Amino acid sequence: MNDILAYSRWCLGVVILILAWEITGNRGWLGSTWPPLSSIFDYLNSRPNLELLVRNAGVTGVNAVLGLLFGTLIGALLAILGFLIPRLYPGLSTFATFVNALPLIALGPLLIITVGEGATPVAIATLSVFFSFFVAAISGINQTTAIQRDVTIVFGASRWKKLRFVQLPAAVPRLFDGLKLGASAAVLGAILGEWFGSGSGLGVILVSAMQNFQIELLWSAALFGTLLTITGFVCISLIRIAFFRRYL
Amino acid sequence: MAEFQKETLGSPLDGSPPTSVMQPFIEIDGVSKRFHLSRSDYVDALVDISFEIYRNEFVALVGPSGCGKSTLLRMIAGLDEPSDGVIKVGDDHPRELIAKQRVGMAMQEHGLMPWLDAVGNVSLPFRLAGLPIDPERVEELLELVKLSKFSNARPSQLSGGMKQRLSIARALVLQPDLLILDEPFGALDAVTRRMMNQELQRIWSRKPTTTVLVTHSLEEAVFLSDRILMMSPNPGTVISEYPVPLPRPRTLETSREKDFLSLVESVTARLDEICATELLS
Ligand SMILES: Nc1ncnc2c1ncn2[C@@H]1O[C@H](COP(=O)(O)OP(=O)(O)OP(=O)(O)O)[C@@H](O)[C@H]1O
Ligand SMILES: [Mg+2]
Repeated sequence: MNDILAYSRWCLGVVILILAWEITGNRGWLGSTWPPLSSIFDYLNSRPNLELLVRNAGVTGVNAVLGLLFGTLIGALLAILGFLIPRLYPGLSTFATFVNALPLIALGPLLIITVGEGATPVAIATLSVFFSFFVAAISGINQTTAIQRDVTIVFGASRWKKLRFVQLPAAVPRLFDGLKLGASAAVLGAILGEWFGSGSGLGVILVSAMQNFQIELLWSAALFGTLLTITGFVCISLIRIAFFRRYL
Repeated sequence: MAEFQKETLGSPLDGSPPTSVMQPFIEIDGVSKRFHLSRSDYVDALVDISFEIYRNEFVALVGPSGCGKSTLLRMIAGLDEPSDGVIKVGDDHPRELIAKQRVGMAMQEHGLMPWLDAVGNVSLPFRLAGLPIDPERVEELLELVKLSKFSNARPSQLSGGMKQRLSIARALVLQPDLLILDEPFGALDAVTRRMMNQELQRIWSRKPTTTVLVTHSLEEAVFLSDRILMMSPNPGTVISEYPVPLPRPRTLETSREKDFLSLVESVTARLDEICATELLS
């Protein structure tokens, strides 16, 4: 019931946004670089244009998914390590914060010359994902109440069993939140990585459309980027619902 | 250690010689606990406490709020360390008993896992101990606490009393050598509480287990225990001891008998006295 309400609100918001965009573009309130939505759809109506965008969005999508995967794995591993070996936790946490504090814009050129152009989008996506997932996992693992932890100790659980049967299940809702945050960070990271000089992907399209003043292409690429993020969100929400139906 | 095992698991054939029955299972020797509140500030929650609890004895700890009952219980359970003195359970550090998965615990907050159903919650100790789950034992326990019908219900679908019963089932499922209860029925209404006391008494009488119960209800203490230890605050110490010679099984009738009522009355009078001096000082 709540889901339906939230969903209809979401739809309403989207409709309002689309209308505002269309009117703004049509009236030319924000100049010629802000086209109405309909002209973007016109642009996408031609097969080669659409194919160009779908192909490159596919590349970005793969980069983002890989980044989400690696970032999640690294974030989860660090969090688990920090839980199993409490002495490591402060160090790990500082390390994660430090890596997260590195401006990705500065990291881009560094990655290009170290891991190469092809791997840079995935690398940046990974870096943008792992921290939010690490934080979500750490806070999720600590979701149990004091009494739940006491009971677990008194039943003589090893640290691993405690993690496996109590702390991790308690962390699940937070983990999904971390994944959702990660999904948009991954798309952003992938596009940024491509921007630095990859062969293909939405980032590449964005750069070239900007340089050649191809307004419709530029906006279409932005639109596809948004679609990727939304797809990621929806997929994770569906997995979450399925998971909760099955286990909760 | 082997000796300990033999003693706790015991063979049912050789019976229990009186010496082993009267042998202390829990030894508390000169135990103090100081909590540091800040760098310069501290509170002495417990000072120089010594007593013994015998194997399969049911002991109730009572006393005014803040006299250190929970603190003492946590140390017996191995969740906390004394600042001074020694606590031994079965000749070992309490943590040894925990490591052998021989302790069961139920508290005022049930501490059930909301993502597990009743069966899952009662099976949890098996999982945490790394033992194969014994479904029959789990089923038996659910029956014992009259929750068979709710085996697939989650804690959020159970009433307060049912949740407490579930958490007691969880505490008992591995047949612990030591049962730790801190106000297990503290959050329940008076009527439900009496029912729960009866059930706990019935369950316990089937298989007596060394039990330490902290409670605010003196009726509950008398109804359930073999011995009542009364504590006084500032600093926390044990000041009186009351044997409870009422025969088992105890029933609702027991709680209306003269012996029962007069014992409750004298314990209550003593507690009032402690609280009154506490107020005066
Ligand atoms: N973790 C802690 N840190 C500091 N002080 C504590 C801590 N736990 C208990 N205390 C102090 O120890 C004293 C005894 O507390 P405790 O919880 O054992 O009392 P209690 O007898 O169980 O009280 P109640 O009947 O209200 O549950 C109190 O003065 C309390 O402030
Ligand atoms: Mg207490």
